[in-house]
Amino acid sequence: MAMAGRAIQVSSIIVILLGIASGSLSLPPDRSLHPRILVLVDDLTVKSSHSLFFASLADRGYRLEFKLTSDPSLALTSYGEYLFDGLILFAPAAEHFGGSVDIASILDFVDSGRDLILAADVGMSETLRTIANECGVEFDEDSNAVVIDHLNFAESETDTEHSLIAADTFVASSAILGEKGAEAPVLFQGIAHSVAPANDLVIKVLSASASAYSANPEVQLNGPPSLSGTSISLVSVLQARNNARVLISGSLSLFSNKFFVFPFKKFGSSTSFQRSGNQMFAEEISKWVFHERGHLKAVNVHHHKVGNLEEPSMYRITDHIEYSVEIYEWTGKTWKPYVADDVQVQFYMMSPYILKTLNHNGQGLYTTSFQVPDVYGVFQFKLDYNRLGYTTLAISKQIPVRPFRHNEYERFIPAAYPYYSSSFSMMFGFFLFGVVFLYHK
Amino acid sequence: MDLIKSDFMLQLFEYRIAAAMIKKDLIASILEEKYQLLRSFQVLGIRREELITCSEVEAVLMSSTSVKDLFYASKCGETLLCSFQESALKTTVSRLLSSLDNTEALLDIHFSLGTLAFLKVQFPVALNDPVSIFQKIKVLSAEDGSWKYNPDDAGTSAKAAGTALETMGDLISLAGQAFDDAKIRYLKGVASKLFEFLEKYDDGTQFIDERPLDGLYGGGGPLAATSQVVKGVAVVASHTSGHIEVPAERVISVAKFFLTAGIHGSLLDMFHVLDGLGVLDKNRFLVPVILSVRPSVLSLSAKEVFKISTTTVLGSPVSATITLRKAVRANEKEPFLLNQVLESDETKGVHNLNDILNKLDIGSYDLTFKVKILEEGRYATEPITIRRVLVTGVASIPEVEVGVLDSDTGSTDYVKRWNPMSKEVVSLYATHLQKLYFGLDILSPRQEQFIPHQAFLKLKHETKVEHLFLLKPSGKKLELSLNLLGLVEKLNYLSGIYTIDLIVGDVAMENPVMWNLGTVELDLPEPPEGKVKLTSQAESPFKYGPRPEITHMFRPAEKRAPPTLSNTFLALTLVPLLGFLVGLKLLNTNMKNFPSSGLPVLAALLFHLGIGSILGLYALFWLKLNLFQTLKLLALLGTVLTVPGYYILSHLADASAPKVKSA
Repeated sequence: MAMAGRAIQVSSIIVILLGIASGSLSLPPDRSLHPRILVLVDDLTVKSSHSLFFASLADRGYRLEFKLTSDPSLALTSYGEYLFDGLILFAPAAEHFGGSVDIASILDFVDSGRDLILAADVGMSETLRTIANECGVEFDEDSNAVVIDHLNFAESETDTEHSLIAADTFVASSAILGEKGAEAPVLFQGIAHSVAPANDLVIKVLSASASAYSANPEVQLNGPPSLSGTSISLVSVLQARNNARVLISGSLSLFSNKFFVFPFKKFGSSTSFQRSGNQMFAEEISKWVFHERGHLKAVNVHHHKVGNLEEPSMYRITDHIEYSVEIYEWTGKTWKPYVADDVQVQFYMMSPYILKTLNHNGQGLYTTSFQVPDVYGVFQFKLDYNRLGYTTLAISKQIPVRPFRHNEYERFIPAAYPYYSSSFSMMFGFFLFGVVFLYHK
Repeated sequence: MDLIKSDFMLQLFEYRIAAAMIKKDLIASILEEKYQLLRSFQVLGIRREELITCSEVEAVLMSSTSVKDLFYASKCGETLLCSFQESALKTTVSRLLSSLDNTEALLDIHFSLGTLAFLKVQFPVALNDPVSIFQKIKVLSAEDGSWKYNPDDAGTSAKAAGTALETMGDLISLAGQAFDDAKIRYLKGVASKLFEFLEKYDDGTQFIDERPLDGLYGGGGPLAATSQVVKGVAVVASHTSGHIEVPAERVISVAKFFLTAGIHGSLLDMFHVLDGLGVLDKNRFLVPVILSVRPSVLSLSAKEVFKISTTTVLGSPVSATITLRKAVRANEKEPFLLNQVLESDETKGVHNLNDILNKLDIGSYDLTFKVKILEEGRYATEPITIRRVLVTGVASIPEVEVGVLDSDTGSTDYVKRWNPMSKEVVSLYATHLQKLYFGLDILSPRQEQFIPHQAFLKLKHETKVEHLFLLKPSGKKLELSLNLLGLVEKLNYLSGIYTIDLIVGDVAMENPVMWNLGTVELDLPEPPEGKVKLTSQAESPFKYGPRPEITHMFRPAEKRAPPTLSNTFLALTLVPLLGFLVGLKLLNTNMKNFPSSGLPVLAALLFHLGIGSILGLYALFWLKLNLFQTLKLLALLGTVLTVPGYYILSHLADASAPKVKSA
């Protein structure tokens, strides 16, 4: 809601580089090969207690910079230039930030297309709530409430609240969670949030089970909890219209070393897991957040008449035409051809006249051919590619379509031969009659 | 005995995980790190000999010129219980002895003396002038008991004092006879004073904070500082006889500080925690004793019993008598059990809490223990310890009452007792003038009423809209009565079939349930004017994913006569011309009136040629010319045609006129 509005307001239209006349190998890396990431913590021990997560980022080429939220030299920008490509906010209790960082500057950071990972925890600050709210995620208002699930918790000797949730309701998207997905349930201990169902930009990645609820375990309930069941989101992601990606987790410990290697047994189930799915989940989802997966771009959009490679300024109705586009996916290092069987193009004027699935050659080139409809007007080639976890591609190219000219119709119609012949026989008869009339004696 | 776990044993599990992680990627290269790893593993009881061997240690001791390396090599040797020959290390010893004379820096003295203290265990080492070394160290001290690292340091710190104490302790072990009682008393005074530097966290744990000065000499934070101070006091205590005055509750708070420090994945932090705990576990001033209650979650159905153990921080049992002062149910005030001495085994380290078991029901309890350690003096413990335990068990729900009541009279229209064993679903029908009623008993294993934390009833419409209600205790039952008239707005006037789910759960319940009771068909009134009825929130199926293809339907070609028909008519249209030609033939038409000579012939030919070309022009107009071209040519041809036309027509008229006159 709020973000949606904000995204409309601020976002530039999807960045698509059109007309780069080059092949896949020479595509310039639009994104940094060694992204800089600012990690804001409110306690430096997070650096070591979550070191496995940070190490996996560092191994993948990220340059991490750890700062305390209270650091007076904090800054996201310097002389109008952003100093970082991503921000990790592992500071659930931070009320204020040092230096020039505040809520507005963090939101501007996201609005500039940069990525954010935000982890909340019990006792999260109003500041973090505001940031999450702007990203379309609403945390439980009761600051002492935690997610409790008496049917799907991980058995642990220290958890006497059933708040160590073993969650396994993942979003069905290989772009977000990788090809393998999570092999074991993900351990979660923290607070619940909800996303507005009308918000298309926020995706629930990890949801609670139907028996979960959000409440303060110490207090007897007086009314139904504000958040319960599958509407509770444990981890959500936002892909803004400007392709900025935001990960919001209700649990900071989800990323901790302790949870990464925690062997556990889920209540009521006989299988015990040697280690939780947290490490895989955290690594895969961080790949998504930092655009190592699911970031597409479309280049070289072309269309022409069959047999004529030049792009015309106008088509005539019933022309046979070909349309082609190249789509690539960013891997963190290079652009690799994107392969999918569901890319569609529309020939569109007020509503789609033609909607066709594009064929591809496996090298990122998508083509199709079709006949222009027998309706004239100003059409668009529209490619709206909106898949769960992928950047949205929205390319449109305008092209007018004209009707037949007067001399482009069919010339001799067999059905009209009687009319032709009657005229000419009449003319011939007239000529002959003139001669006979004048000279007969 | 393996059933018993102290609080530390739980922690230990986490440290083992941390250790396993370190194993993966850390091949410690620096001697200091090797020692830290060795020591951490030693405390954890893991043998890791591949890190460094005794011969490697000996090689360093023989060749290295850095006192720091010598110190850590000797520490490794101490951990590995290596033994060396005096002859091999003679030069090292003499070098260390001479370096002691030449330095005034605390750390250098510390490293040299530490190494010598280790070597002294193997063979005799004699210091040149122990008292002057003592004075050198003492010079660095400040009034309040803190210390400097170097004579020209700006500030002082408690951590440096810890290092100084450790060094002094080593000094005493090397040359104890050189120190009189006054010096020993001085040392003990410093040691007990050090505990005054403790700072407090909110949770009651105490620690020694780092000072800016420490940052210049290795840093390490409060963990390192606290660990160093404890080590210093322990070393002094181990080399002096008699008692060091240390407040017991402070030692306990420090022990708790280490126990709650948790794992942070970094080798250094883990080393300081484990080193500190290792020192606290075995020392000669005060050994903190921790009371642990296992299990902290007791299952009644598994017939578990509480075992209370008194152990040192690393889990060695300590004999004690324990009295259960009182046991209170959480959120209640009246204790149900008072002053009970616990039975224990022969070692008096483990105590059983048997009597309480038949009085426990499921729920949380606060147990207050009084601990009295049998061996006085050596141990420190909290006299009163409160532990919260959770007792779990199987709660029973014999049946769920499901009914439809009349709103006005409250009379029962329909009632059904839903049986959890058969799980036979009910299907109800209710209008907005009725009430839905749900009631159930939950009984604890002791057949008492039990109110779970989670007792929800969920109504779920076909369109996936969910409504959650809370069952509240009323008398002996948990009840929920839904007045549908008051709920129509909440239900969005959405009639239809709702499924009913009952969810009951609690931390103390070992059998949480989520039952589908059946369905209810609600017949609700239509919404009033102006209210929009919320329909399903179902997403568009094409939000993500391909849409069905669309192909354009081209306008169909106009209907035309088939070729045979048009060809037939083509032939038919030629019939009149044929008839005309036949008629001409039958009339025996001739050309006798054609002028026979001169100019009239030319005019006639031009006239008919003109008419012919006009007709030809029409054909061309049909084939390729447009109207303008045609009209231009027609005007030209027409104009040209008038001249011969006029001439030939008047000639013909002239030729026929006399005849008429003569006739």
